[in-house]
Amino acid sequence: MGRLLKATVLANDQVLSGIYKLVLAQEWLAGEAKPGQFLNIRVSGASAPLLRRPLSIHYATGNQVEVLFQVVGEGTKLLSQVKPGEVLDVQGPLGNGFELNGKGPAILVGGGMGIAPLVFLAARLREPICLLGSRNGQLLSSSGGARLQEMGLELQIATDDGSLGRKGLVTELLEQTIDKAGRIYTCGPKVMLREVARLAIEHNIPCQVSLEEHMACGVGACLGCVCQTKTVQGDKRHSRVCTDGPVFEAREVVWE
Amino acid sequence: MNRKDDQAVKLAVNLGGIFLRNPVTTSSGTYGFGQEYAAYLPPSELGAIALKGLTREPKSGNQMPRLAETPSGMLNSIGLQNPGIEKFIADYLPQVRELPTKIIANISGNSVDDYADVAGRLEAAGGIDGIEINISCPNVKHGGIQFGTNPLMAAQVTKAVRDNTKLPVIVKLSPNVTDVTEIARAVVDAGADALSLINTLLGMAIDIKTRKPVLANIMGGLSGPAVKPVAVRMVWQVAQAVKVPILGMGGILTAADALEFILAGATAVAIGTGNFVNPAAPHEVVAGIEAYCLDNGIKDVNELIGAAWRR
Repeated sequence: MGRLLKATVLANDQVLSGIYKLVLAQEWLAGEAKPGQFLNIRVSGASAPLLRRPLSIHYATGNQVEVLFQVVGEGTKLLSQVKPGEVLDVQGPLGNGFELNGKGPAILVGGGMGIAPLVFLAARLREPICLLGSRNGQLLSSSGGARLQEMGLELQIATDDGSLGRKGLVTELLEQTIDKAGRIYTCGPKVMLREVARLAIEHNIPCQVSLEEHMACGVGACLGCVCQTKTVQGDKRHSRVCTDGPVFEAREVVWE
Repeated sequence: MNRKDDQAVKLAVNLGGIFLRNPVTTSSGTYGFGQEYAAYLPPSELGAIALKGLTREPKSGNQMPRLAETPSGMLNSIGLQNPGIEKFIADYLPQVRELPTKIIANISGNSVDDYADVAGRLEAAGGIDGIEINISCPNVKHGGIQFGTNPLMAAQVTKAVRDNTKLPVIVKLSPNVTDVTEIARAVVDAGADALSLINTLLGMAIDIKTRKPVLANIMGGLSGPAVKPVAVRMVWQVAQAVKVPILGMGGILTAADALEFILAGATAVAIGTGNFVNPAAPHEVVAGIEAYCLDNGIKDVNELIGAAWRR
């Protein structure tokens, strides 16, 4: 269960144009955080932008929590201007996070900024294979690719422009590697997630997907961030991405 | 020296027969069934919690996207997603009943009969301290706001609920009308014990990249600080038009916001969208109202109700 916390900014560095790494000092949060969970960060003391910004946890260790984010609008722009020493109003950790236990080799499939939360996940799994995709090599490295490489993990890379790894889609890498997988973890753009889920279901491999939605409360109260899910019997319902997720089993999600 | 030691402020208020320990509540649809925020704020600090809107049948709600952030506000179009009254009573009410605060159930329907039935079942189940009739939801196709913009229909719904329960009945008014006092008088005449206002203002946003409405439901309800001046104005008007107590809401984030509503004539206030921004807001508002009273020599918060117009 999350808490309302004060977190001191230790660093907030631009790692690539428009991408920032925010490092927060928050011992309790660092101890509680699980891979796949997120924080709801207040970006303005005034009434605009009004809502907190939900951002996934990139890494947590000791008393530090890291968030890697891309400037996409007014809220993330304000967050990019936060300076070391400032104190942020942070709510978290929120969401269910990834289930770490499972059988067989773990394959991580990350696309774009969806690579960021997989860094924390990779650190808690035993030698996962990481399949990473992005627009280009620079973006891929800056969104977590370089960090995963430093961890000494096996990486397979695909980029849209071929500037790093092979030219193509990360899901093509998955098609070639999927026979080795005991379980799959994935985060990234919806089209990629859908294809990863399709392949996993086809090969009957457990697959945890981390979804993203615009959120308001982040605690399951407002029902603003739902996705459609189905039960084993096929009954459809709206589940809350913030509290029922953001991690769902691929089979649960209604993908069309 | 701590002033609290030598002089306590009376914060308790009577909202049409619901006795609140303090005038700060949370508004329907922003606080789930009261469990979601329990880790952030002890429910015992709240005057009351208004539950997420309930309907006779389960509702899966509207398609995504359901949210759009707007200047100092947000649009929502949830569509009254809820498990339905039967499942609520079986699966949720047992925990809701245990919450150490007053519980206001918010109800919606497609027909007058729906409202009366749900109200009756809630009273029979026990553990509910008051019923809030939602005749002002802008996000459902049938019922909801239709009942809230027509004085005759609003009165019919109110009377049907009134006749089917002994619980205090609050009617939640829509701001999407020309003259809010007309509806207010109609529902008070039909037996409402209190009024809550305002529900959200009908609005919309368009994504200029896709050239399509942001919300799947096209239109949604605007809430947050952006609507506060409209809400204060309507509370001011209604408070002078009727004799029943008012639960004021619309964009409250701070004690200063809440005090505006009380001075305009609200007996109690509700924090809605403000909870998303700051889950500690209700706590801060209670403390701020108390501090304001101490600073201004007010012994009882009831002295402030409508003070902006009362002689």
